[in-house]
Amino acid sequence: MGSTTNAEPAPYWNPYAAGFALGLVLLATYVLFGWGLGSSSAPTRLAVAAMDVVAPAYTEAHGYWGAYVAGGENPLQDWMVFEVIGVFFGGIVGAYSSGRMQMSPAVDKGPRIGSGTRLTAAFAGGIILGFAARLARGCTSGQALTGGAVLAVGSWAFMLAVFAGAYATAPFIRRLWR
Amino acid sequence: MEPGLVEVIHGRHNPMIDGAHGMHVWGWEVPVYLFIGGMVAGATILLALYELRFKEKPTSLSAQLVPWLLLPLMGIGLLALLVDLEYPTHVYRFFLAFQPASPMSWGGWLVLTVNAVWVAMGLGSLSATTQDWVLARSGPVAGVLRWAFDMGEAYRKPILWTALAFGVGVGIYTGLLLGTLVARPPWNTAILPPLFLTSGISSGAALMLLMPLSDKEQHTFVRWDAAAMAIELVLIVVMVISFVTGSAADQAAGHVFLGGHHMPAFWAIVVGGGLIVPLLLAGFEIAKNRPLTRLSPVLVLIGGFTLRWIIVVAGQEASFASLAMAH
Amino acid sequence: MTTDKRYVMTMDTTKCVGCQACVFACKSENNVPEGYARDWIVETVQGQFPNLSAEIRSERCHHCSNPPCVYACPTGASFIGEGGIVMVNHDKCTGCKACIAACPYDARFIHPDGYADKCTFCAHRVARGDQPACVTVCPTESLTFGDLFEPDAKVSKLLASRKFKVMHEDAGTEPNLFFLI
Repeated sequence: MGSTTNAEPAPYWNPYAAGFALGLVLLATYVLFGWGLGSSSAPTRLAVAAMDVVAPAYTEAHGYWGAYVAGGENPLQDWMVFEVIGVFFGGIVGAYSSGRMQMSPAVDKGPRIGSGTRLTAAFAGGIILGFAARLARGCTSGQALTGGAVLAVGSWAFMLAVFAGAYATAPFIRRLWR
Repeated sequence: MEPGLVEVIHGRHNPMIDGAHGMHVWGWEVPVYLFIGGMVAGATILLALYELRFKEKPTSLSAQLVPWLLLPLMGIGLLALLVDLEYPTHVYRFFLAFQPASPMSWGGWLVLTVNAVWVAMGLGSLSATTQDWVLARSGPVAGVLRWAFDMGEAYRKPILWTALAFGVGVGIYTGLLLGTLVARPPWNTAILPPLFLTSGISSGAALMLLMPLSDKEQHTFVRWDAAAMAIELVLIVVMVISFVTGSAADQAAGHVFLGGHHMPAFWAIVVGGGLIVPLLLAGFEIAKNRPLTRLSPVLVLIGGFTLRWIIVVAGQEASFASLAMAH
Repeated sequence: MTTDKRYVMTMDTTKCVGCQACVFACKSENNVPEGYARDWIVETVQGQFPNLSAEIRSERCHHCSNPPCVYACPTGASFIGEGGIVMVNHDKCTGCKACIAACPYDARFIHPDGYADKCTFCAHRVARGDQPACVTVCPTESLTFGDLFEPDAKVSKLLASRKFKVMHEDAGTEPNLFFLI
């Protein structure tokens, strides 16, 4: 057990090749399942499932959450939940096969900040991202990748906005990474 | 379904038997026991095979102590079974009778006797160093323990073969118990006993791979675990095929795995996470000599438990009687 | 278990009106707990409007000649009694529910006192020469009970002269509840 730093990790793929491969995966999911890739629905549904256990009446009556549990449906019985489980498993296999599996508690960050700052920033960014994903009904995988691939106008608008927003805010958070 | 059947008004509403989701006489207690029972049986088989094959005792302290660990683990499983009984004060009745046609009767006697087998096996599993450590601290009973250790060593081979037989018995009887019930089509397959056995073997290996083992033990159990998982994958595929190509009841059972609401969890968590991913990781571990992770055994254990859970739930949902009225 | 009698029941689906008298008689005779039923009425409608047909059946344990519930029982609590009536010895029952899982007709249930329970063909009444409660009370005489090995018994004559069916024959349990159609 432990990190595999004593073994030489395999080199990263060429990014264009990896992108093409990801595109093929996206095509395959459309062909096989009729759905594209995505991810933000999965934690949403997990949250709804937890809410349904703790406060079922509130969840059912809610204008937004209620749709996920209407008709006694289990919010976890959904394509995206299992796709995300698959992503988890695929990530494990990929990390292990390339020698990048790390079971240590080290935090990836730049040299000028502490782990606490980094984790807090990640948490805050995650909350903003989650809110935005629900507002836009998708995140970079659902909107930019999948929606962009089928040339949906809203998805392209989302993608351009993501780049613009990232470009505008990057100078202010440079310290987290450099 | 009978041709043209439009409506059925059924006057029976027996608790636990009839309801929106069908029968639910066996709850969480049964999958918990099935999982623990399979796991301890698998560990028994692997340890016995290891010593018989290599003609030497396992050297790591963990492997020496595993037979003793199986006693409380099985105790938890049996406690779950006791909780499941509707007439628990009559539990002793299991041991006043032997019904050869009832796998549950076989099982009752097996799980009672296997504890003695584990004690006998455990006595002989301890290395000389460990035995001395125990004797030094055992005060007045040191003499009895010395005698017990000697007996465990003297009869080691018969004990190991007995342990192997009991491991197979405990690992397979639960599959027979469910598999012989025609009334529950998703259980009614001859594949279930060997499926439960191999699932138990891989769970037992996973349990031991979570502990610090010697290099040779780890090397061996990873490979035997991989073999068990590969066989289990084949058995699952064969089981689904045999359901889909079988009688009407069999096909309805096959629907559970190929279209019912258990399908995603079965293929994602049991087959994907519990078998394919650990197999791939084991393959990389063997081929590229990567160090072992604790993640793989954990995935196997989760997959093994989920397999038992889904099978127990699905078998009760799809009853022979309900198949005639719903599809 | 004696082999000189084979008790069976016939249920004439052309006469049953679904009045539930058999259900109430059984509950009363056998102190069946509230919410539970040892026998019950099933009504099925078949076909497509306007070509519809209905069948009404009074069902219960089929007292099979090849009873999987008896084989599954680990303590011998489930056994085959006089005339082939499948019975449960409450003292030996542990409530393990193997018999309940084994029945293709889902005819058994767990009594609130903890043991497995089901229709007994009113064995206590049969032992003193009476008929089961459901048979006695049926207003259309659609239920008949008797010894199949007795050629003059009404059941034997009915089964020799009428068309009949059994339920879930493919389960292979050799049920002894025959539905006259």
